[in-house]
Amino acid sequence: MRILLIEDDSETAAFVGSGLRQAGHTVDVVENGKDGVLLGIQDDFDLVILDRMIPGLDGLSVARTLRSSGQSVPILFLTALGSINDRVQGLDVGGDDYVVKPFAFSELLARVNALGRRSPLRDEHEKLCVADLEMDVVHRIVTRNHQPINLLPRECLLLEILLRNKGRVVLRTMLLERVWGFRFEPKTSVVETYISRLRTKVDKPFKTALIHTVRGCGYSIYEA
Amino acid sequence: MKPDLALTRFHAHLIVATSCLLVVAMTFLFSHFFIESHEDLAARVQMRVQDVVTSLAEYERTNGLDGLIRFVEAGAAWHDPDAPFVSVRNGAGEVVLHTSRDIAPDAAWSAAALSIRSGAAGWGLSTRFFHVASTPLSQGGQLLVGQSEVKSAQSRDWAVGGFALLTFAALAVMFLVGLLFSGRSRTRVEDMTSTLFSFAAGEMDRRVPMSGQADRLADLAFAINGTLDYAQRLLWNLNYMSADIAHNLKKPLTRLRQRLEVVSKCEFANPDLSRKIDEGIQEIDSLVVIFEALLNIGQLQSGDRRSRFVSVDMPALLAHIADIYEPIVADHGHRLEVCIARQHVPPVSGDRELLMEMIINFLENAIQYTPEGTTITIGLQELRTGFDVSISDNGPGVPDDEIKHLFERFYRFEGTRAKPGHGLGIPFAVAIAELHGAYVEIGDNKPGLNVVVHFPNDPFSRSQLGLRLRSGLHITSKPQVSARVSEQI
Repeated sequence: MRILLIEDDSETAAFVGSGLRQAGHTVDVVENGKDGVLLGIQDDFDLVILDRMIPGLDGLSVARTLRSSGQSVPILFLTALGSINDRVQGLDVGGDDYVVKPFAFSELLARVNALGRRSPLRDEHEKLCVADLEMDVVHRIVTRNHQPINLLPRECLLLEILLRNKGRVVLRTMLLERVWGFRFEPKTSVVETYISRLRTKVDKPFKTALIHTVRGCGYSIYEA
Repeated sequence: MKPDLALTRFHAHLIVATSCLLVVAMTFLFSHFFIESHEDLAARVQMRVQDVVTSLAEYERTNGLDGLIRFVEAGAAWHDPDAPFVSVRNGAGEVVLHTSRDIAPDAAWSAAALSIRSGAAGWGLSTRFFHVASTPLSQGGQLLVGQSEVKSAQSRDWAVGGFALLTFAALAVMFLVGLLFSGRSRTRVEDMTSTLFSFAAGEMDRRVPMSGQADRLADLAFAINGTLDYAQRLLWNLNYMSADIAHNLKKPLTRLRQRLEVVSKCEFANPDLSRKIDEGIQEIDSLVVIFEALLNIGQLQSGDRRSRFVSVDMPALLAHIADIYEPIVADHGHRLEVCIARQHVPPVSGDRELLMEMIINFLENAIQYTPEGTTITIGLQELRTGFDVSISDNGPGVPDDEIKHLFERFYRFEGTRAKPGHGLGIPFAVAIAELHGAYVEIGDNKPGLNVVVHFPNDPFSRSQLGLRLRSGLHITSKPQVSARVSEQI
């Protein structure tokens, strides 16, 4: 992916840039908002990572300008402003995701990957599969080894998100947002409980486990 | 509720006091005038009856008693509308002629026997004073001439009537003037009250309109506006300060975390070192969590977020939460009961995500801090004044004297210290409740803990304002609080 990183702190820019490059992305770094807007409008990026408090033009204005100039490129805010109101503002001006500093690089990477793969239109006969597990997305039918598996709606959604990110890490926080609509960290093990129920139905009765835990981070579905 | 009088109590008192003073002054003035004019009139009437009696006595000497009686009865002499009356007694003392209808012969004759030669007939306001003069007749018997103070009485009646009318008119004028002034200052006081209420409800830019008059109310308005400016500036400062902190404190924290993360990827001979680095990263993360929670509580309390409110169906939201948490509650070995009365609970104007976070916060407290086998109940109860959302359990509960501390930031109850947390969950949830005009009560469920979030029907009305910022005060001293609130209303 070609990523535009607008970040004025050189150390953070270097840290994020090198991490993303290691993950196989191309990264252009600019240090102020005006350059960011110019570059963002001229060139065709797959993703913009945007700090909010930057010299020249602040992050919210950059996002607003990009959107009003017709750029539909996904925008990820990477900022120290982390209160509820700040997040809402970020998403209001057309941001697609919001990561608050200080951040774990693994979280940033997972969110970058998720944004890059957005929006393939749903095919009517779309089927997601890993190994012998198959899911008919439209009819919500899940089978493994041709045996039907009965899933509750929320378990089904959880499995769908894992399958759509086959082979990649899905963060706990991303699951919380998409499956439960939680933008906060619950104190109890909501995700773990549902994953364990899903495993009981999808993995337990069969020889190989497909759903894997990524320690301290999230989950991933793949054939070992 | 107090009836909405057009007069303020102060102005009513003022009017009553001025009216009393006016009545006393008028009475005094009138009495003086009445007494003066009465004495003058009495002297003139006395003179007149004396004149008449002398002339009539002369007439009798020339024409005899019968002539006198005929003369008087013919009434030739009495063209005067205010004519004197005549009474004649013969030698035997019998009254042979009496021309007054108002004054009885006995009264007239007994007055003649008095040295002042006057008397009063009738009662109360119809009292007539009369004056008499008498003289013996040449042929025996006595002649008496009297005259009542008709003119004087008439003028007195006029005076009394005028006095009453004048007093009444003066009172009416005074009342109207008072009403006008009172109405004017009342509008100004009303302006101040509504400005303060809307400020407290989050309308930070509102100020008391200045009338241009230089009086004490204008001073008050000026003081209120100054205080509101000050409060607004403090809020601005708070917001700027959080932005400053976010920028200046988080930048080094971000770098620190990045460096630790880079280091943690290296291979160490000593596995202890690697663990220590991970712990360091965790400490940074938890520092940020506390910091964000504090900022969020501050922002919620400033009421900014109310502009984003939508209509939220509370029964549906509770059912949604119960549905999500049923397996988690079961995993912890608890039981979840849901008692939702769906009938008439009106939609809440609010932020769905925040309301969800608030309820989940209380629910997760119940899940975390009660032993296995506890029953947790999510309830929704309709009330006349609004509705209650309750999250209760039958676990060990919290001692009464500890409950009020649960509302304090960073407070952690003895039994929970072993579990992770920062003591900011309840303050955050309470801030969400208050943002919605609701308030939180925590009490004994006998056994267990009962958390009630009360959503009033009209959360930002004036009567609710006193209650709004009072979560946590209710549990310790209910009657005292309601007394304090009614004082405010």
